Amino acid sequence: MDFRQKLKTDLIYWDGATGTMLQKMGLLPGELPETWNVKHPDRVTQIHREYFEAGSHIVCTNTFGASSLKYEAREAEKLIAAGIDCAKRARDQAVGGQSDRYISFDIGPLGKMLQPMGDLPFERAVELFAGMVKAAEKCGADLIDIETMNDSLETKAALIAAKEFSALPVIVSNVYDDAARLMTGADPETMTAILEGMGADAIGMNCSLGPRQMLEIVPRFVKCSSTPLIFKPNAGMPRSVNGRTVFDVDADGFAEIAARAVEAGVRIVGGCCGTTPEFIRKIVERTRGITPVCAEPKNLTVVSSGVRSLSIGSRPVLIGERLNPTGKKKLKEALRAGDMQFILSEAISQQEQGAEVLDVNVGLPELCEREVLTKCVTEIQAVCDLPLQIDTSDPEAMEAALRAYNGKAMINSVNGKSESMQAVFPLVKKYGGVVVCLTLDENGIPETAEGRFAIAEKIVKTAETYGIGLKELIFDPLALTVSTDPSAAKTTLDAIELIKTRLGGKCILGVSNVSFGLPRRDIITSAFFLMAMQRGLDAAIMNPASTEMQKAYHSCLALTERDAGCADYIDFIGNMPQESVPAAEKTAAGEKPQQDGLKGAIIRGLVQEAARLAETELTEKEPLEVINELIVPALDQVGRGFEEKKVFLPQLLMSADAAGAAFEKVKEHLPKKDETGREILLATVKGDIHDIGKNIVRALLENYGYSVIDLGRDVTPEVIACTAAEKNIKLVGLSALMTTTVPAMADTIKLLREKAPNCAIMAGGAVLTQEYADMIGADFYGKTAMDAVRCAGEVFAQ
Amino acid sequence: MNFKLYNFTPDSIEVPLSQVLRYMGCPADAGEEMTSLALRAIGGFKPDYKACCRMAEVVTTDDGAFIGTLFAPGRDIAKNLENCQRAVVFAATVGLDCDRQKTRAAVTSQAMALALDAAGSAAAEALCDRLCQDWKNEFKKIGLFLRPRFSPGYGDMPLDFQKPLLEYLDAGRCIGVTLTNGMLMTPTKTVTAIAGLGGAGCERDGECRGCGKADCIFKLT
Repeated sequence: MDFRQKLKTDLIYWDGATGTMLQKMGLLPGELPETWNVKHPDRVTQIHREYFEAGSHIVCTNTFGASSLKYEAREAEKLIAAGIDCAKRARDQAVGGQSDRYISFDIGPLGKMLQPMGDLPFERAVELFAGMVKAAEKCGADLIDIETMNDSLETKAALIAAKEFSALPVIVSNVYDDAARLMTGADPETMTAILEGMGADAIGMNCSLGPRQMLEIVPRFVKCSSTPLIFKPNAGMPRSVNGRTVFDVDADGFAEIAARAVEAGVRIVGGCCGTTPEFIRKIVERTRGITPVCAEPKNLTVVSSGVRSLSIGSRPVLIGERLNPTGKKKLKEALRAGDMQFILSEAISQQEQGAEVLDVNVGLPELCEREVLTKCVTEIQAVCDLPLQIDTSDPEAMEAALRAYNGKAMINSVNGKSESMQAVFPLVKKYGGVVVCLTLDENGIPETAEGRFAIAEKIVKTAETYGIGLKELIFDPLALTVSTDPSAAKTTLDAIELIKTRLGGKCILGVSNVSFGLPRRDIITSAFFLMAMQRGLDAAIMNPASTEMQKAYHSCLALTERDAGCADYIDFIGNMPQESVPAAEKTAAGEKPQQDGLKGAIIRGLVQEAARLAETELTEKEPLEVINELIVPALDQVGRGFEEKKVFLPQLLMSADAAGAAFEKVKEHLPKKDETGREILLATVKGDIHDIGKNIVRALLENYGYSVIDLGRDVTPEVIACTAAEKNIKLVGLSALMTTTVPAMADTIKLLREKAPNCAIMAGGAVLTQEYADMIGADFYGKTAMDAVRCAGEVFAQ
Repeated sequence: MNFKLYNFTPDSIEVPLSQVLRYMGCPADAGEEMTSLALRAIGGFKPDYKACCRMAEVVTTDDGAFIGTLFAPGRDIAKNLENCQRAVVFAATVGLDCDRQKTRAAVTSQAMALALDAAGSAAAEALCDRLCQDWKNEFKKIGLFLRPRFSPGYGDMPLDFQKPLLEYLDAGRCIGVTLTNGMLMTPTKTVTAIAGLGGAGCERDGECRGCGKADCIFKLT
């Protein structure tokens, strides 16, 4: 029977451990298991045969780590072909067992962490997995299994490769810990959203947990997933008896729990580390006669990051709108300058203000949207665990960002134009996502609610032809400006109701549009928001910093039975900024107002106090006076204390944080960055992922008024040298923590001398010494961050 | 024990405040402000303590030591394992959340980023201390002593040795520890080490003896 067909109705038995069996046959610790496909094909075949004979429908090939990261590409192909051959021979030789026997091409993790946590680029991971899939395709496997994955992003890379280079069914199983999370943080709901969104044929769990612990997680999948569930636990935890590794659950005990898992909804059952053909035989015996439970289709609209998921529908979702350059001068500047710091802090502050999803739009005509959007999505995900809404009208940029995105994104947007649907729906189908559907088409925006509803209906029908269900769509009936069209708000609200009641669809609005051209926009926008929520609005793209919007939101929840005991409302009021309190008393919790002004606030490291006092100073002093008379002397004082060992590094940094907050205020009154001409380029060199030292130097240099271009960590000599040459940089700072990366620093300096001969180079980092710095040809050596400030002073004084 | 996996709940390992302050570059009496920062850092990430270890016979040579099939290069490790019959090879990690929170803090507060880094280091050390103490107690019963742990990068043991060591433990699969091209581990707050086991002659606590570095601020006395 065709595997997909069988998966629709039957209980399917997978095999048990391969590694455990290989070790029993003599595989040594550290020896690469896949080499046995060629060295000992008879033994590998025997393991597969025993599993088939024990009753496994699926046997997975001994190809877990057969990527070209571990082997030469040709060698990997050879091992894959040999591995599939072993399984085929076993299928032919096996006596007894099931009549339906499938060979699954096994893919495990690459053994390297993906960026941004590690150094393996996402597309390189896809390429490595693709190499494995292509090799397997030639050899005739029946399906592909992606297993033992402990990172959601790597799982996604493998699934993309499997889908792009093969039409075989793909089953995916992840490693959960006893808190039901992947090592990188995803829970079952999150993985279900991601994997179902991308069309995996079965999803579930393997390895790490014993059967009892894994059984506890089964109901969570059953509740959220519409896809057949995999259950492949270890035989308990490994322990040692008389020098031999044994596991603490025996075959009978294992089979008993497996039976309960099947009754609870598991559809593919097998074993991982420590299990043997005996375990499979017992499972088959014990579960014979149990009617498998098929997963009910769940009608859930879910988006996720790589860590958490969000189900849309029970209460309105707040989507932060501030990462969109339209009308935002500072963000525009940051995007043009590649200033990720500003973008990342906007992301974090929106999360802190209560946003549950962040819209990310980087559409500026002079930027390569594809590159910038992908970079922003990746970097925001490194510091913020909220799901993102990828907002672009460029399908190429959309695809690039959706690929690299860790999770199941919201996609903004598609509309009723054929061209738009043709471009966007295939991406939704391939990468998964909940897509915002604008109710406009070739004829523009209909003036009536009925007209907008008709477009929504058309979009639903078209989406269906791509295999995209209503639950993956969220309709935007378009908030238009009420100051130019008095009926604008009413039409939109009526359209929400039609879409909700007649179509059963979900609705979203960019609510702020309603108030263009009016004074105190927040007041009328929040009233409109409240009215829309009353009609059933499911999500709003809004500014989470707006107190008026938050008031409307929290009040609405309390008034519509969605805030038990008004707890959320009371909490909100407790944390609400007190508008009536005079500014002088407004300090952050724990920050005592100081008597000695901005200088004192910086010396004490009081961030919010420093920002507030800087604003006060700026009403009387010129920006440069504030820098030179207050900020710099305060920093000098702290810096001197640090060098005299009276002030500790964290205190120096707290002062830097405070000075940074003050400087942000001053910057608003300063001429644009490049007019100061004091640009410094910083980077941690190739091979080094430590950046804390470089970040400290950056913070201090910025405090002293330098404008810093921070290229990040693990940066190649080429990127550093080319940027320095291109931007005509006078000073480059290089950092390295490990002795192993000092050669990369030497290479960088060599290339800098060639490409940007006029720039000075300072070097620092834990392993560097003056001797090292001299040896590799740096102009300056900085032992501490204060040395870097001094060095910059010398260079720019010349 | 020839191979073993460990999982510790966050509250079963105490991260010593004094160590966090030390890694932050502060003395133990650095004042309320630094103490409060250190405490916030300790509570600022969710540790996911995991470890795996393998024990095997030791054979020392002139330029290194075999621990089972694993060859550890360097005269220093050979010296460290002198008189040891066996050794424990292990990898222990505090998990990824420390790295994640540190990256986030690096956007908003460098002081907090530094404190989180220090708390992560102190947590990793506390985890290793806990493991070694458990082994010490376990082996004492059969008359064996555990030598101080020795890590790649110590003395003349090259950092490149991380790769075979992690492969020997199958640490990628068992506890999710991987290497970058520059031989750095992820999660970054991970320790790999070898600790020898032997009878009489192995009982002395090393505490940094045998290391030639004279100006180390972290030297244990």
